[in-house]
Amino acid sequence: MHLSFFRNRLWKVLLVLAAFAGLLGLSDDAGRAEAAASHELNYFKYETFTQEGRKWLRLELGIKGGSVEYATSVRELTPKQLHVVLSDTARGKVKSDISLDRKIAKYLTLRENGDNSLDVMVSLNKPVADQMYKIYFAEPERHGKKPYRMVIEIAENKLDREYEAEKPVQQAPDSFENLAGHRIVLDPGHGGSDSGARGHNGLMEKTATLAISKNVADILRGSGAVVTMTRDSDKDVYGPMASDRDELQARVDVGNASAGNEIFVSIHCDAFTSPTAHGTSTFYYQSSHRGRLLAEAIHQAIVDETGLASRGAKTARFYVLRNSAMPATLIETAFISNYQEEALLGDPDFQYKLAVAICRGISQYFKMR
Amino acid sequence: MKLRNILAIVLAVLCMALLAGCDEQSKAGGGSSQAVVSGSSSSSAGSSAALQEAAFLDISVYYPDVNATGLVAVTKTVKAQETEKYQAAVEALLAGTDDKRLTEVFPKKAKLREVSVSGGMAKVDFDKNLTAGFVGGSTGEEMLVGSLVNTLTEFPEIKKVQILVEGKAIDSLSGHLDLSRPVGRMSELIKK
Repeated sequence: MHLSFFRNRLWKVLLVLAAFAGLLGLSDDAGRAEAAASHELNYFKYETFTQEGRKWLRLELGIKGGSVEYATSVRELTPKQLHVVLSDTARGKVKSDISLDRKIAKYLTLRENGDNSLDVMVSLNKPVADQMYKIYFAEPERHGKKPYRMVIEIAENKLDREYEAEKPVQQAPDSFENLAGHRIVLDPGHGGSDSGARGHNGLMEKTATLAISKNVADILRGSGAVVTMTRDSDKDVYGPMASDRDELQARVDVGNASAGNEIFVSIHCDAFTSPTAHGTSTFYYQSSHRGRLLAEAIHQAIVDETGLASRGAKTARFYVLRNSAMPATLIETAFISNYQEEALLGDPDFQYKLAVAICRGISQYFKMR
Repeated sequence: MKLRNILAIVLAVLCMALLAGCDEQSKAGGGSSQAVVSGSSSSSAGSSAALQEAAFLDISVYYPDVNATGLVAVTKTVKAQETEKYQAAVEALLAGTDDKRLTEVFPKKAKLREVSVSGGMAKVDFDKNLTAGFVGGSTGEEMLVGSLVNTLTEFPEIKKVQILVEGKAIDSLSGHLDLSRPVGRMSELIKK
């Protein structure tokens, strides 16, 4: 009796143990599947806001594991659905279906694909092609208890100039009048041991300034100008770890070396402690009338063609402006310390667009003279 | 044995009373929440005579707005003796502001070493963290220099400011503004 009871119990115990083992096995599998993706969503929030009279919807997706690669797409049959596919990302504990504000977007779905990617689909009220949207990454905010996030911002409509800006860049090489035979010095800011300012997502000023300057040089040369660059690779002009004065003087020397050089154009990215600061500025030395004309022409072209906010063409006591023996300007193209502008500065299409604007401004300057 | 116990208790009570007293004193000395007690580290050990001369002083300290479009004056009350008011003004600037519309532009680790004024010029000496920890570009440089120069030139006897690092003149903060010569008031940066 006692023995049979024990046997009975043992059987049950074994059954329970087996069930547990099964459960463990399952959850282990699930755990493995999750662990296979190196990123996981850990936060979601949406809000609406108004900027320059236009309503926007902001979606914030917290991403554990930091910056992630993504691709956006719109399918032909569902033109109102914006897909943002994050590679190597799991959904985590964020709900798979979320209702949104209904004014700009109806809802959002999160679907894990077989290849460890996560399809973030936003169902909009209008076709995606008719709505302005931006995607960028934001650093954690300790006070707001927000983790590292991907931010998707969608506007209620799209402005004419935004449609205009999306038209494909003309493939015919840009070429400008009034430049043939002119001698121009280009100075890509920083370089080599001096990386310049650094963006929150890691873009270095020296990289962006060189890319923009090379485009400027190509377009100017294509227009018949003679271009001298203070540097055309990632290097110091004076030498590694030199003093600021030696390094800046070396750049000035490249320009002043030939009496035939007519203008000096230094290309930089701006930075500030607060990520709010944004926009483009162009500087000249106070006592240089031609420097002012040059700076104003370039600044106007950049503002007209890139959509960057204007901070003005201003005077500044910058070393290269003060010591160049010719009209000189220093362009602070955009803020590398601002999330949106950092993304623009790192984008080859935008780098080219900036270069075209700078060349148009230079062409305008020589036309005035 | 008993005596020792009593002595210990008396000592402990005395200590607590002393500590409480100190606390009270520092609160009284702090003034309003806006106030900054200047007492640079070198002077805190100073004589009682020097402490008696210390007076409250309202000064304008300049901070950039978050979009770095200009500098805004914030009034702070500092307690300093006459000879240390310049130092106190710069310390107040480095201490930052709670105003959400404004921001700080000095590297957090940057420390003031000394301010000396003669012949209308203030020489302001920082430690190496001023340049080592600086992250701004042109605008950051302009706002940092502008906030310092405008804060100090609020004193009518100061016309120009020269920035030093570890006692030596510097060419620039990060390769834009030429700081090898003294800088005058940058009133064009002040927002009304």
